[in-house]
Amino acid sequence: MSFNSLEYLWFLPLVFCLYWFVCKPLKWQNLLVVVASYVFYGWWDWRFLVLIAFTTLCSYVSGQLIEKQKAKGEKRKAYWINACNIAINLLILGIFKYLGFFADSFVQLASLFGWHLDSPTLHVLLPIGISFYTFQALGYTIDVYRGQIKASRDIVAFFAYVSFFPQLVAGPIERASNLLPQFGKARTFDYALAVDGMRQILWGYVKKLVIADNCATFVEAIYADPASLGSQHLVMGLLLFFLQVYGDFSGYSDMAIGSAKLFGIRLMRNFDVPMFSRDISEYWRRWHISLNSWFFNYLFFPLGGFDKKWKIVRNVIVVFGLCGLWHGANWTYVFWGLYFGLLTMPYLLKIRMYKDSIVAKHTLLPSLMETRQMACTFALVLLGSPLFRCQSLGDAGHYYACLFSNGIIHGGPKYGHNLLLLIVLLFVVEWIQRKKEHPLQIEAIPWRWVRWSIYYGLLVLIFFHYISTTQFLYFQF
Amino acid sequence: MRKFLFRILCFLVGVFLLLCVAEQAARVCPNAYRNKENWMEANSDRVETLVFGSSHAYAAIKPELLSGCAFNLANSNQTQRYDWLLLQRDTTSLASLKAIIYPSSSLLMDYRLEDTSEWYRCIYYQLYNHLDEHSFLSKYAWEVASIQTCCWKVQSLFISGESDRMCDEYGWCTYYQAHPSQKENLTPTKAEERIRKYEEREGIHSSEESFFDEMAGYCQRHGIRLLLLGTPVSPVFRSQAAVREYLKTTDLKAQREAANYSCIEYQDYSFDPRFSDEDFFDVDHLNSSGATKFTQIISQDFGL
Repeated sequence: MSFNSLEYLWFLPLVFCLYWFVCKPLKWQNLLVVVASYVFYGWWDWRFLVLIAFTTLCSYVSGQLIEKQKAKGEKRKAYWINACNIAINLLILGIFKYLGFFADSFVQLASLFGWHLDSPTLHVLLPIGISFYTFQALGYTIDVYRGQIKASRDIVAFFAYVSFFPQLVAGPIERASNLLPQFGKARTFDYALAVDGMRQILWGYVKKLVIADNCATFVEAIYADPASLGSQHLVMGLLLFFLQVYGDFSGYSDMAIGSAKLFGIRLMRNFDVPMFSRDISEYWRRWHISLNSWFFNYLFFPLGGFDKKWKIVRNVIVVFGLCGLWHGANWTYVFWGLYFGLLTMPYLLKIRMYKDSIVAKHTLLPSLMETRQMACTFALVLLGSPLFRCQSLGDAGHYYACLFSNGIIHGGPKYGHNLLLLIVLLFVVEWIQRKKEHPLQIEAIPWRWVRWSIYYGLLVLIFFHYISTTQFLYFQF
Repeated sequence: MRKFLFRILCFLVGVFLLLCVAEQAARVCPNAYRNKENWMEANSDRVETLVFGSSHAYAAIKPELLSGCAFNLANSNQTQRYDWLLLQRDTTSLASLKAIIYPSSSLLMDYRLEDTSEWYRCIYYQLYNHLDEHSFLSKYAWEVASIQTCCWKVQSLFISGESDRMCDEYGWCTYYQAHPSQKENLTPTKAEERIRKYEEREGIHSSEESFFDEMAGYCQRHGIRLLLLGTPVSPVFRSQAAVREYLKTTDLKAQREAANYSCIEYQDYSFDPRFSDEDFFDVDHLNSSGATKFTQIISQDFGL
């Protein structure tokens, strides 16, 4: 079931009513969350429910065993249990997501040495959201092993933590320290939180249905035949693809976080206006925050973190390479990750961080210096997008070649004033509301009729720009 | 909680009103279904030739070039069932009807339109052709039930200024006139895509072919000529092996029907060499000049 499907429009109110009116005791609420989440996931393909149940059970049992061994002082055993759990989970992920990729890569590598092997034909269906819930489950056992959280004794709460339907298939990848305790505490209905959730859901729909889907049609046309288009269209292709991914993924995150708020659950923020980043390292602290912080917490720091300069270089390459691979079983993603790794490295070597996470915190407009920094960062981000969008490195190279050699060619897609206006509107609204969790946090507006006019205005905007019910891009990851 | 539910309810009332406005706006939009309905209401007693079938006939036959009073009642993805329902409804007033033109490709359209991705067309038959096939409580009775097409309609009315695939005063699809030459539509890839679409459609057949028999029986009883025509397809389309197989199936079926009913006159123009790329809008739909050529040919061949 997808957030932009009609099914979700009845599923969410139904679960909401059952949650607050029928299943009032905590245990029943958690059980309802699990059942609803399994229905939500099973709607797509019920067979993979076994997989998610196995991953959850495996991590639950591992957490218990790790804590038991640590209590006995058997640190080595706890280490091996943790390692086994990681290996099992990564093996499942590897089989379902990367087996074909590694097999093909091996065949290609072998051919370089003169061994000609037949490429195996593998038809393994990729379970939606496998990378998300696997990482979330792994994060829990690693935290238990590190002693940062206690192992969960409540199996229902733990199943709810791994499978909580708003964030199950496309994140945010939650930390056990944030989400698990929320399933252990009695929840009361919070009016302000629920209203905020509704607003955030609405904003998510605007980003997905108005921005992402409208950009997608042009992106499809531009990337289909870059050779026939002028460089001006190819530059536009970079921008539109960024907006497509941003609108799609951050829109999904908004809907997920907003839906969770209706159930009294607060999920972590996943996007923090990444287009207003002053450097690439800041960009990665604002884009897909839950994944990037996961990689830094569970990979970068265990590998030595900022210990020595050579370690920083090595760790950045490993982390960004794997972060790219996490997005898909294709070398394009790996190179996309490495591209950003190289751009981030100088900042990490200097360990420079901005004091204020909000750009131009006390002024309406950024300074000239900040504007220049944001523009350069955004240009570098856009330059990386063909690596993310194209099916192969050859295609990406072709796009770059056309981008820099085609020059101005008349003709090509006509974007229309509407789309350009919407893009400008998105940037303006996100800039003005950059200090807020999402742009529709407008409770400060004292007149209700103004707030309601904004809601209805956005609904009309969706109605006038609705194209089709396309799948969310990040489901495939 | 009460306050929250009350506010949500108020908000939904607003949404409901918005949907009512959208429904009304979509119904106001000019569309081919209503145009055809209006024409038939005014002229059914004097019409001599009617064209039924799917987009192949909708695009291929210009009634203005036929002698006598002729009208094109075909429409995109119009199945045999809806062809028959449209004819059946007007049988009492079709006093002058002498010939029905029917594309042989529609013989394979023996499935329920409701089961396809273009189910929203059932709404138009219900609302604009007044075919009461579904309850007014069902999704087939409301434009907003198909939110995507409803949005397109309202967008076209208020933003792009281009209305839904309209037809001219004789029911011929003007969309193909507005887009005379589309070279990118005439590629082997497009041909493969189209034939794949037809092959996928075979999976949803539900044996509604009795509707063609109803139509043929009606023609037989009333001495009406039923001209079964294989409409031309582009050279790139007919060069595909899968297409040739598909056309062969259609041809066999048409021959069988022609043998069953004496009122049927069958002629296959699929491989007619007189049609070149310039005559097509896409791989299997004629453009305006192609439609003119084809209509003139059948006018001569069948004395229409």
